[in-house]
Amino acid sequence: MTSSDKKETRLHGLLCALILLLAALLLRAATPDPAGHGTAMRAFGILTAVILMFYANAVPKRLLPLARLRQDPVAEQALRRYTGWAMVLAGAGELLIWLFAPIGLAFWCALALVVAALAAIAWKCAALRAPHAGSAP
Amino acid sequence: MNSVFKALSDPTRRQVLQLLKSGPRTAGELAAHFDMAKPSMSAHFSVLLAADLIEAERHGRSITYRLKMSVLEEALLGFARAFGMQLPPAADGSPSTISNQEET
Repeated sequence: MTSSDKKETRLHGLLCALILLLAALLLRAATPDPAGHGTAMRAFGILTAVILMFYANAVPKRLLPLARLRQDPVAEQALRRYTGWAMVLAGAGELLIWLFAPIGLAFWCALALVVAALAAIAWKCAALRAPHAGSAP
Repeated sequence: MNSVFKALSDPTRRQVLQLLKSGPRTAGELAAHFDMAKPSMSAHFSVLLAADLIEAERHGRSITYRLKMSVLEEALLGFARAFGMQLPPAADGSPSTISNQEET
């Protein structure tokens, strides 16, 4: 493990600790007062959306080792970029939903958006796979 | 992040990244799109490698370059292309651009 890898591992560990701490604080804020439940839920939704955007942003860069498998470098790169963009846009949409949508609807709207992004990625996988399936002996 | 801005500030390097969006290409294939000496192209590739925007893989005597950009970096590339972001030559410190097909 290089020093850069160690630094990155420490950063991710710190980020995980921060997420757990924030989740615990939000849970504590929500428990005694039912009125604060909506705010805590909204804050947790915002946190989830930011985390989704943060990790999806890095997908095209971090999954580069997949390119070395050399199955089909062009399709692999197209899928990697598509996945990154789809999930970052889903994360941005989720963030807006948790910021502005009524709390009763926010969860289902955010869930629908992320599921739609995952479905779009699955569709792209199938679309990229289709020509190869046809050309197989 | 400074190295990323420096890499994206040059139209030639932006065009190299644009070409790599369609898939990995060898140094020769990329150089064929530019009216530029090989050392100048190599210098541009070095800047992109230093900014971690591309990855190089050697196959025998040829080098294959592939895109290694995060979503944010791609968005910055699109922004730089749209608004023609360019550092003054002294600040950039990179080889001068002989041909600029992107901006025409």
